[in-house]
Amino acid sequence: MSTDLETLLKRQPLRAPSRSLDRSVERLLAQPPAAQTDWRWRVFGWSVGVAMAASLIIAGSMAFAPLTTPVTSTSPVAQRPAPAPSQGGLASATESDRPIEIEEVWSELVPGEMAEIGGQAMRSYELQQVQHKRWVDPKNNVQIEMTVPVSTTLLTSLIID
Amino acid sequence: MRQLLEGIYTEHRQGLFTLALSILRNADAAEDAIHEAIARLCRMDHNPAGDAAAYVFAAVRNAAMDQRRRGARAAGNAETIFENSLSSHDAAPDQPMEQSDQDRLIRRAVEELPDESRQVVVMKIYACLTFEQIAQALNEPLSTVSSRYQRALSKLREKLETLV
Repeated sequence: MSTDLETLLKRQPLRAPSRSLDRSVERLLAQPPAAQTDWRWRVFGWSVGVAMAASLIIAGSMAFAPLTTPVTSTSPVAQRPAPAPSQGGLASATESDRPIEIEEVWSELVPGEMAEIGGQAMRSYELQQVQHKRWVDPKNNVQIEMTVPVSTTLLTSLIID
Repeated sequence: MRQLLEGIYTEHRQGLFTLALSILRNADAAEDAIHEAIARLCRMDHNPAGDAAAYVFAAVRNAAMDQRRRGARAAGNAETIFENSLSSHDAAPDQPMEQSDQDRLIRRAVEELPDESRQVVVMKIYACLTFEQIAQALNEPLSTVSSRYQRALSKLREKLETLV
């Protein structure tokens, strides 16, 4: 009885897979293992690489503003311990009389070439900075300025699948 | 693993496709599921434990189930696992009308089986797997698979009692 039913079922012709499936499976089987990384992982790898590069650039630009908008910080120069007031004491120096330090930094992050170092894909970035410091002592009418150009090369690894 | 896969695909391509099609009811989606499963298996650097053919069937079934969960190609017209649906016009001139009616009944009865039973019938009848292989592919005990198959046949027999 079962056999009759199974025979009836087996007699029904089945829909066949297309030739394109065979071709795509053949291609899969012929590909080298490295090329078969799931596309989602490839996208993930690229995303991580792009995110790393982007975060580096953002971090760089946040820490060092571009050349057109210098970062300026002004702070009073550390004071020497004030002398003990004498008897019948005179008024001490006012806030505006204190020497101040003004620092300005211009910076720019310039993307460089890609290179392979020790089998690892790397991209270089050149961080160009100009530091300008100024000390002003209004009380004694003294002003000192110092300008220091700095160039730093940064390397970041790229994930290339 | 590649050679093993190639051999299994060559031998079971029809069975794998029928299984995937019986789950997804769409030929394109079924082929996608097979492609996805083979691609996953190609990335394995070792041969699977147990029966390799059952392992491939399990991979294809999982890929098809994943696709169905994702709602890939929501079926407007559910496609059948059988070649060309029969109609009264399909009968060959020399073939008695009764034959195509019988075939239509059989096909409908198979398509109407519950999912799990239909998968077991497909793997047993159309992919020619043993109960041990089916049990491994479904990750279920042999006795469960065997009794499910017998229940499926009983249901089919009820529907086709005039034929068998």
